[in-house]
Amino acid sequence: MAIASAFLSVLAVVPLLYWGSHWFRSAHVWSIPVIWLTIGVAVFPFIIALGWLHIRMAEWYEQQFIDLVEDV
Amino acid sequence: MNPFAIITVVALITTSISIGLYGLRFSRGTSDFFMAARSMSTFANASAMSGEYLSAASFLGIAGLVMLYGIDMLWYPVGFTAGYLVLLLFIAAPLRRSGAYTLPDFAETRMESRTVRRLSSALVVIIGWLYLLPQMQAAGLTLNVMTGAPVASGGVVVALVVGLTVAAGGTRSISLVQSFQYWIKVGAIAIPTVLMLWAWTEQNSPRLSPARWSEPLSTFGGRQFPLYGNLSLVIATFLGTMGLPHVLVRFYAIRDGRAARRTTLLAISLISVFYLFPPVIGALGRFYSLDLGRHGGSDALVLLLPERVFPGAFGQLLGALVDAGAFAAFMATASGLVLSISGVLSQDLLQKRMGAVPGFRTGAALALLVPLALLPFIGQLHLADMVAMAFAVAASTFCPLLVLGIWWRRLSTAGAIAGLAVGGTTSVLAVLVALFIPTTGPLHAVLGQPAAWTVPLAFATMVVVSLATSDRVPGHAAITMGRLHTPDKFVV
Repeated sequence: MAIASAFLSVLAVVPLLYWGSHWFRSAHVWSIPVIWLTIGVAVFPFIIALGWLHIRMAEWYEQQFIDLVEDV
Repeated sequence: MNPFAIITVVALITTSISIGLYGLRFSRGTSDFFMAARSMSTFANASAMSGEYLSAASFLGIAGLVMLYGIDMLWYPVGFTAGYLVLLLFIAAPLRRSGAYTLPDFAETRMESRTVRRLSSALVVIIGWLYLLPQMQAAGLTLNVMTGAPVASGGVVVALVVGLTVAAGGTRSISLVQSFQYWIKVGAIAIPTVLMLWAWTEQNSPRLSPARWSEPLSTFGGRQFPLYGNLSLVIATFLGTMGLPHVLVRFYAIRDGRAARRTTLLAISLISVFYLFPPVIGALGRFYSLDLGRHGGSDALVLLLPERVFPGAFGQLLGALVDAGAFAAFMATASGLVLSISGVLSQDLLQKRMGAVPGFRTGAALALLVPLALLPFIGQLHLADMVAMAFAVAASTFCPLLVLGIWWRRLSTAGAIAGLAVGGTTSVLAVLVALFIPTTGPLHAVLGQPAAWTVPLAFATMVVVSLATSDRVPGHAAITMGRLHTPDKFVV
């Protein structure tokens, strides 16, 4: 849940940044507009990182549960 | 007419079929025939998942849309990838632990109702058919570019090739073929893209024009109502991926819930790698500004650009590579879809009458014939837009059922039925109307991308009706849900 909301809020920030910041709108890296790099390239590592984080958290919770049950 | 293309495509098809037959040698008995023996490695499974997921819409459609309409179209690859993330976050491991092979299986296990099962089966078949339409159109387009054959012939070719592989194989051999086809697709799009980028920098990297093309929500190219369109697309793709029948069958082939998570993450990474390339081709297409009107419009961009950038034999060779990739794209997706549709048709309709294996084969034939018959009547739509329609229907039906079914104990049988019926009827009707009406105007925008209103409607119906009929919660809901969320170690 926390990861989903983190994902959605970052997604929502990108358009806001675009409308709000002149720099974000006009900046170029190797003559490619930054906005293209953001949603064309940078989102993918971001999505993968969130997925990885989710797996770590889910497995940690399950391990806690297993330890708890096995102690009894 | 490209002589290399014929050779590569024939080579691809024969390799695919022989891998399928090789895989078949390992499947003994009918149980293996239907479900993969759970012996495939995480990596092979993730490749198969990605190979099946990256359809003609991804391989051909996205680049064309980016060229025509600019940056807003980047939401397609982002949405297709993020859909897998949502699937991972909310349903991957519990779904695997439910032990369900298909969506109707899950519906019946969780809701303990034959009615929910039948509704789900009907929806699986409808979503599958909607998704097969663009695959067949893409096949026709590719054949047309390769040989000049009429676009209408494509459906027949897909039907033949896919029908053969599916009827012969079953999940196990299909998975091997699909993981092979993932790598073909990545190679076939990455190599030409890199070479064409290099050619572009040789010309001192001219800036792409006009500026409006690269601005968000610009309605560049005459795509109206961009804000509604983007929002609807994001909802459809984020939430629709989990409801696609051919995606879910995959989870049954994975060992346990933990492996399901890991496989999904790897699949997300493989899909992401692929999606770096189509937008680049779209942008390059803008620069080389092709005359694409002759070959079914922007969807042919990926197929034609290599020969345009490199005239002569080298361009033809690259073109042949891309053609093979396009074939791999619609073959992999179409066979996964046909497998799911025929699985449902044979399980719920045909098996009682004609026995398991003939029922499965008849189901496969039916799965292919219906979209084949519809294909000539649909309007001029972009491949990716047609695929997005299937996502919208999945998001308005199976997404609420899966998410609420896995995470909300008070979901009642009546609520599930009402939600599926409302979400299904509204989204399917909207999409069907949009398939056959002219593609301009606000009506088409609202009906062609219905997710923004049908998904909330379906969720609301399911919740409200469930709360009103709290006496009809399935008897074993607590036990079933306990099983879905218990770590694999304790499940026997």
